[in-house]
Amino acid sequence: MVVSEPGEVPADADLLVWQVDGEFPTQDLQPAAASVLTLVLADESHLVPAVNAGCRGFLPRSASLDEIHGAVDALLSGQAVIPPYLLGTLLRHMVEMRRRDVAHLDSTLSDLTDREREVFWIASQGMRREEIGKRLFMSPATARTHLQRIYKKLGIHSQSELMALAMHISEIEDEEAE
Amino acid sequence: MSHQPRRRGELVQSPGTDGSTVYERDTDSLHVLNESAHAIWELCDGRTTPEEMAAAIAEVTGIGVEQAISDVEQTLEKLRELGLVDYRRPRLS
Repeated sequence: MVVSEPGEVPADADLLVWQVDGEFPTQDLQPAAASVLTLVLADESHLVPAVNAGCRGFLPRSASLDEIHGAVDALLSGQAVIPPYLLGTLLRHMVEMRRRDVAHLDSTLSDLTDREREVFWIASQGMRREEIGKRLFMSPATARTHLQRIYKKLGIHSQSELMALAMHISEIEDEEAE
Repeated sequence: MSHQPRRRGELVQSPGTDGSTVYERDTDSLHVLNESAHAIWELCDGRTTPEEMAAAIAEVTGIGVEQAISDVEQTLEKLRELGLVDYRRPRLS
């Protein structure tokens, strides 16, 4: 077990325990929480940012040593640690956030023309503009123009971002269909 | 009844119990729910689908979506049997 600051996580760390005082440091925490189990001791108002940052463990700062030990054991055995009285609030937030996400994606793609959507989905397969042009019977220059318009409308800057966005949309659509 | 479960009863303070206590007026009965059942009962607002509940639970706890769906369905079925939710499972066609 390691008790450390997020910026100082050793490569062989199993667990990061971090007490947050004051403002919640989402930017600092995200890289650590993505790579190592993270237990945050923070104000209850920080629960949602902590879970959004990727933390699987959360306790109020007033938690006792026994509670912290219990949480560490639970995290290491693969369980999430959320105080029971906060679970309902957190789940409600997650449901609402997901609805906003789906609504945002729907409205985002609705800004594209039919032709731009065709280009979007073909480009999402990693095809370059020459291949897109061949598929859609247009010149590479026209495909490039479509891509530039798509990037601008979607607020993205590269085909990699487009592919990530398309994957995200597909995942949500798949889950909605289940 | 709907595919979106709607909770019945109201939360009451009940000192001395580990879980949350819900009072259901029609049957004049008290039910003690464990933490996860209480969280799911709270999500039963007549608008949230079991799939949305499962997706949120999977995201928060890190368990798989399939497992979360199974857990939510089992819990809803128990809550329905207790008269604490109005819910009708969609028929598989």
